[in-house]
Amino acid sequence: MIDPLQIPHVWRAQSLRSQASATEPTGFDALDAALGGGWPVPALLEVLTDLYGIGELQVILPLLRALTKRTPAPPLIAWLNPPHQPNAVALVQHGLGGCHHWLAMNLSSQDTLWAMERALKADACSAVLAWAPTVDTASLRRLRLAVSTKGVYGILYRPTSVAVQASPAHVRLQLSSHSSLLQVKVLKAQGRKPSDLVLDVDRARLLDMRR
Amino acid sequence: MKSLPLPFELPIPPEPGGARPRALRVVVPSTTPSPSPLPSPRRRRGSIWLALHFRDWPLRAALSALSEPERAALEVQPLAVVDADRRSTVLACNEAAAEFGIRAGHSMNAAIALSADTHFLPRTSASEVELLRKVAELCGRYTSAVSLQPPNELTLEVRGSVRLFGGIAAVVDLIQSDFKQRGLDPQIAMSSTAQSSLWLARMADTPRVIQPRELIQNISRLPISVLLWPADIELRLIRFGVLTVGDLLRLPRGGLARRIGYERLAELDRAIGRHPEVRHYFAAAEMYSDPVALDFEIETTGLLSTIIEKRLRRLQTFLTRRNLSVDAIRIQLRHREQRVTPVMLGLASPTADMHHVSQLLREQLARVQLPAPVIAFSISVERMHPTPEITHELFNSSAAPTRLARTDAQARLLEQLRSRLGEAAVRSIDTRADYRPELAQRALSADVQSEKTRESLPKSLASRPFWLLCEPRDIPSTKLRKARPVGPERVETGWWDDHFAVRDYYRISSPQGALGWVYRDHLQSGRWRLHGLFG
Repeated sequence: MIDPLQIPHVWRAQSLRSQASATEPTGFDALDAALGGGWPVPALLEVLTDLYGIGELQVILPLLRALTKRTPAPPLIAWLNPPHQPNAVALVQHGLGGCHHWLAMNLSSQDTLWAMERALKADACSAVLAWAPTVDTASLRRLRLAVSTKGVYGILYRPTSVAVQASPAHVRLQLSSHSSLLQVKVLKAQGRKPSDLVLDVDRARLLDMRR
Repeated sequence: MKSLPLPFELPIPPEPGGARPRALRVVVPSTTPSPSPLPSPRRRRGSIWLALHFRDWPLRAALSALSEPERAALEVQPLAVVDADRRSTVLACNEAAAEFGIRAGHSMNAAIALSADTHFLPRTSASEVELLRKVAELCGRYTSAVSLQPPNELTLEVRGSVRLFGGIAAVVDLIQSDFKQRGLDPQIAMSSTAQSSLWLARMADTPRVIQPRELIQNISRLPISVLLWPADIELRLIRFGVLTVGDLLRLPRGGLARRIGYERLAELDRAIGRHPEVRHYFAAAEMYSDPVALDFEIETTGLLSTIIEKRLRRLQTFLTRRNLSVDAIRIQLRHREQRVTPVMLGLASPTADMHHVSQLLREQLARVQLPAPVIAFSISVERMHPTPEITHELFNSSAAPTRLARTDAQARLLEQLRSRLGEAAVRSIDTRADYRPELAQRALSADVQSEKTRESLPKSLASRPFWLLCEPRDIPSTKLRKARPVGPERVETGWWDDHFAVRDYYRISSPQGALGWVYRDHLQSGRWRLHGLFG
């Protein structure tokens, strides 16, 4: 049997990231390991979920906290077309109180993507969160380009039905619930193998009878 | 040494509103002052200064800020403008109030005691500035050299105007009649220096014209209260027997400068023409209007925006030359038969960057439905602001964007989003002190604030879900039986308003694994409703 690594110009995918490009800790050890140190800097993150209330915001919460602390004041997070109303009190409870939140609800997918691209290019936000059910590859490419040139994190939530489609996003995660934990399927992470992992997103505490 | 009885009332301190220094009644000695120490006037040819002093300025300004019917209703009743200080000092009052004995300098309580029907208006500095600018614009009729002396005075250089209008008397008559039409009655004085004309105007019940050779003689008779110097200095001067400007001029300069400061000595020198005086002239606000007639009719907004963008470059040049910014641009699209489609470009913060404006214009025009082909358009700007100066860092110019750059970028983003998604589409969310979850936050119209106040929540407040459902959803209680809700947290508040709530909140886990926030509504026979999701 031939060992593929013996063939010239063949190498393991993990070693692609050996250049040790900067990473941003995700706040979860398992996820850090799966992504090779953390979120790439900067990154267009794609989060696929059909169900809300399973910890889909908890995954990116450490990232948001870190970003808003670092940017020159005043930090700003844009929420474009979220499925429900973000709760200002919960945002304060989770350490995003010192940050402005701009909210635009009930947009069409087209408007959402346009607004997301504008927000990324404007270099005004710490992070841009958007929810778009239908996205074409061309706009995804434009988003990725905007993220790469301006260095702002873009986080795009999409339904799980698009998991089979290719996407130019830097990182793609598919979320589902696993009892009180969050199951994360890393569909794509540049230079890493796809993997499955389970994160504790601080939910057992909420379902504890004693609290 | 026993102090002599003073032949005057003690002056009230000069009002910041520029109330006329009437209270000081000075007995001018009838003997002619000894001539020797008076400095000889150095005549400076070329300038004739005319000063306008307006009485009861705070009252006029406060009235000018009101609408016509409001003003008419107020003017007939006793009316007084009060300062924002602790006593609410009356700064000015109308004749109806004066009949009751109310005077400037009274406290608000004293005024109420004199007449309980007195209507009080707060002093508004902004309207005083605005009115003075309006008056200055009006004075542009007589001369181009108008300078403001806030709060309530103007000086005009009228040498050329005297020749143009045919004599000093003609100029004064013209000014008086013009202002009378507008309901203003300025005190007018003319002399060869701006400073002295101001002093004279403050005491001039009728217009006074002072020839250069009589200048010193005339201003020597003025009481020192016309100088409007700080009250403590005025009192100090009175204590050492200086009652008139003439007394002041006779004092040895060195000692005087030590006692009252060189600044004030220089003011005296400027008044008698010993030192030249530099005054800043008032410049009327810039306006921009650019009407463009098209050679052909345009039916599509795409082509139209290209043409308008080209024309905006003129505005860019105009602004760059003057170092100005705009925060609103009015574009009027003209059709046949005098029909007009207005397009307003409002900006969150003033800018001189027409590239950015063009982008907004394109978004805005894309939403405009043209009722007919466009045959002409005009670009006009009514208000301009000085461009803020941005200080760049000396080192590390490529480093992280500065605060200002960041705020600027946010303002631009907001404009772009609003121009496509609509004015009300982008909101900013913030917390509000209320235990009812749907009222514990408020959506404000988003804007670019510099700082956000840190909210503090009650420590005992249980975890709130990230998502709130806009409309709580009913859930059948059969579903809940298996779910074993965790709680409760009682929220019972709001009996004083329309949103009385008696609810028990529970956390439940759905079979799919979503964590929800449900409540039992005790006002609606214990119905269960889903209110939020722990995202």
